[in-house]
Amino acid sequence: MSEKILEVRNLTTSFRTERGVMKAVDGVSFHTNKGEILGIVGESGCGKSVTSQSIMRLYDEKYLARITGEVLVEGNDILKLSMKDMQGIRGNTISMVFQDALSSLNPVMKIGDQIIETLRIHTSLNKKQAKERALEMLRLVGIPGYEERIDQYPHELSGGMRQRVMIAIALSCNPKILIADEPTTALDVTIQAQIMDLIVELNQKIGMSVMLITHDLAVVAETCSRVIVMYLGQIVEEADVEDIFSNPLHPYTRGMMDSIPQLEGEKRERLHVIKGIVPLLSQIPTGCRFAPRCPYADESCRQNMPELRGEGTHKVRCFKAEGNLTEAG
Amino acid sequence: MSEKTLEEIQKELRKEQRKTNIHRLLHNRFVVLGILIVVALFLVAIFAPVLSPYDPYELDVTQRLKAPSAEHILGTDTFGRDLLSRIIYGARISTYVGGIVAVTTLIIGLIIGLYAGYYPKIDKVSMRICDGLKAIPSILLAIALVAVLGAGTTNIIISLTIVYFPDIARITRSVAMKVREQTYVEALKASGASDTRIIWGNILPNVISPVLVQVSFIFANAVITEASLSFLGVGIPVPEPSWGNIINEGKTVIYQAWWLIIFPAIATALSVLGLNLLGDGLRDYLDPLSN
Amino acid sequence: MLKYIGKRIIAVIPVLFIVSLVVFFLIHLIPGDPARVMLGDQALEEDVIALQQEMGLNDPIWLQYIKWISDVFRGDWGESLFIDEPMGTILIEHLLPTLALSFNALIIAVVIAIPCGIYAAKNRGRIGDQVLMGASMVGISIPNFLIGLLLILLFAVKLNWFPSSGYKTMDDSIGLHFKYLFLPSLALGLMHASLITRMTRSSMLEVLGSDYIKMARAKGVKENVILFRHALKNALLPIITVIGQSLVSLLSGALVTESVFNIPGVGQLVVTSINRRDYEVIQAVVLLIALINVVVMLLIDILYGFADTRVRMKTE
Repeated sequence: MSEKILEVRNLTTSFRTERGVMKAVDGVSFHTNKGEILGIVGESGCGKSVTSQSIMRLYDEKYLARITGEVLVEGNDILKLSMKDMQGIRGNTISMVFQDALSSLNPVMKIGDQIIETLRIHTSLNKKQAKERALEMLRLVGIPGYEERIDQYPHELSGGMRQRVMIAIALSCNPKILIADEPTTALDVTIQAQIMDLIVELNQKIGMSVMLITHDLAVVAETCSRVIVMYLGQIVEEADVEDIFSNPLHPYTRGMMDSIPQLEGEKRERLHVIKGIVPLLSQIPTGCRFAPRCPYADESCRQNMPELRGEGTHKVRCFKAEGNLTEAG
Repeated sequence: MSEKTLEEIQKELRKEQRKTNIHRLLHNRFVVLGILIVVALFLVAIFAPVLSPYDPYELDVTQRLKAPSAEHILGTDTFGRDLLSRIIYGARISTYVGGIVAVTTLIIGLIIGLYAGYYPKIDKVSMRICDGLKAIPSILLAIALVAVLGAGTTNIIISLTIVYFPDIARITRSVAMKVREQTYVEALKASGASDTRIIWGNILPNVISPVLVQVSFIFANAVITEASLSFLGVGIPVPEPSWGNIINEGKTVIYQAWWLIIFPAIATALSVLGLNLLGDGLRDYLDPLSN
Repeated sequence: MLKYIGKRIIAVIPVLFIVSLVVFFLIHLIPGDPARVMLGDQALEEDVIALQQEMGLNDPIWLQYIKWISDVFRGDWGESLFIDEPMGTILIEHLLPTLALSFNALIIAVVIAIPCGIYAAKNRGRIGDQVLMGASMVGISIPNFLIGLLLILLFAVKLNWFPSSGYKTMDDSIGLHFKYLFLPSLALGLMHASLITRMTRSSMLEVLGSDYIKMARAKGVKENVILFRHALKNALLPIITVIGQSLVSLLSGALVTESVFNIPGVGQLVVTSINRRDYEVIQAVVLLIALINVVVMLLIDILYGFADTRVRMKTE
């Protein structure tokens, strides 16, 4: 078994809102092994972004969010750290790449300065050394003409370039873990592939672990070694990437697979769509959270909450699927 | 639950949104305070004759500049008139001027804005006029207009209407232009609906919310400007009691009679505060996205 | 950039035309015969006729306008019936105190407002923010002549720290100049401080909620550095615009504040001219203030254009 670099135990994040307290993440436990790419998938609003931002502790914990559980990075619980110590972790041990590079880069700072700023916070490099390192990073992420680009502002770059700059910022301090929150959603399809290739390449080259948050199963199939499927703040299925595609157990996972447009093989009359929409957090059902949209749900599903159970690496949260699991296992 | 159509879900969401809006409106203590103040102001204005302990015009030289006492709760002015009664009647003037100006600017601004938003030719001319009027600071334009028209309630109302209608016209016009671009308006045109019908039947309802918010701020501004004009001695002529001219009179005796300034000042500030709070609340309620 | 400036300047021309029409028609709004009203009830009939002739009141209205506007372009802004000086001198003499008052008030407003706005944004929804927002709402709601009178009551009548009214030029004594201007500037500045505080707060809030602030946090940047280096720099442009705009409303607020403190500025000039029916002075003042207003707005627009090319990203 490989070494766990990040382990999340029973993470719960609730927000205080005008309509009362809402649990956006409810008792999530998972881990990331050293050097692997872990995929977290789910529809928007399922809690995958909240999970990542809770790990980074980006929410206002005094007034807005309440985060409980443990987040162990190399065995140390970072939820117990003071905000000051946490600043030393962010961008250094754990880095993050956001969805929209256009709005995530400071419009009035040169891109070089944005990389140098990170370096100056976390390393003892002087200005000149930091600039050299910034140039090296821009070259590493494949920005052509990086010597001139370093003095440009974000709006002077293309979308793909900006995403590369953000990756350069995130990787500048050699993080052990990179959290990539939908890093390619805002880009053209061809650029998407380039950016994903870059992330995979850097993952292999540097040996950092990646937590890839996405709603795109095709990306997961190509890049990840393990997958977590989230629905309404809970993990509903966890498995190695081969297992999840060959033997999806949870009805929700199956539904998502079926809604991928097929290019080859059997032709479908129309795309399968999961019925209904993700309920509001304020209207969470009592039993299995997927029951209202599930074609197999019965009375017991609506009354009782299933546990995340399974043998070995494949776990699922469903009464109906547990039988399947033993058959398959 | 699983068989809900998209429409039902949308309907539910909208209902929930409305509920939280009303909840928010009432939850915000400032807004409730604003509503209370404005209601109180109107009540005082309407029932002024009942509420006033004395005749606001009755002179009594023996009672000149008396400090607040049991007999005259807020004291008396330089002519021995009861200050409380004058302030109560002053509320009448303020709400009357503010209220009428709110209505006249609403009507004129709405008509100009709607047609300007619909017909580009009218737009060009009318918006240039609005820009020109707005280029002159409002208080100065009001002073100049009252100066040439002469002091008096009606002339103040006319002046303030000229000063403030461009605000309504501009907002109306910008919303009207957006609505005009909508596909359904094109469809209506194609189906032979008359321009008048589209303007008053389809564009007007979209304009109402932002315009109402603006009207409440104009009400507040009209109260301020009337008080300022009267304070400068070019507004409501004495002996008619207006908060502005009471304060103007108080300024001449500022070393002897602080009450002649403090009490009408509180009345003015409180009324304007109430109207502004109400406007803020209205904006949050009618137009939650703008916040 | 030149094209942009040109466009802005051209856009100002129709505004100025409308302003000139408004100012021109002011005299013609006088009910009855302007010449008779201006000279008063006891005027001799031949004087009235002479003034009618001089003002060209018997000409067709468009000819009157053309005559008037070409006079304006030649620098002839009419003459006062009471002050025996050229209109230009009268205006400049009265404009100086007004400008001094507005400028001091602006400095007071900015010094108070920017820290308050940043503080309120940083502590959004908490007690400090609510107190500041409540106070600024009250500040906006009190007409500035009232703030002036309240300050006089407190600092001049009660405490006797500052003079209650009057004006001293810098030539008289720099110390006295500021001593006399302090209360009026504070009165005028407080209201604008309220406005600028609110604008600073909302523009800081918008920036603080943006993705690049989240990104900065994710990079491990310290909160204070985020606030001043990342957020304030981005929020500054809208704040500066508001300051520029409030310069104009300061100028008009100054007109009223002058009356409270008996400062011989353009505001007092207008009020005394109304009582003397000295209409050409009123015309000239309105024209001057409107011109200043239009020019300031034009400059703000152009400056904004310069700044915006560097942060064009926002509009793209």
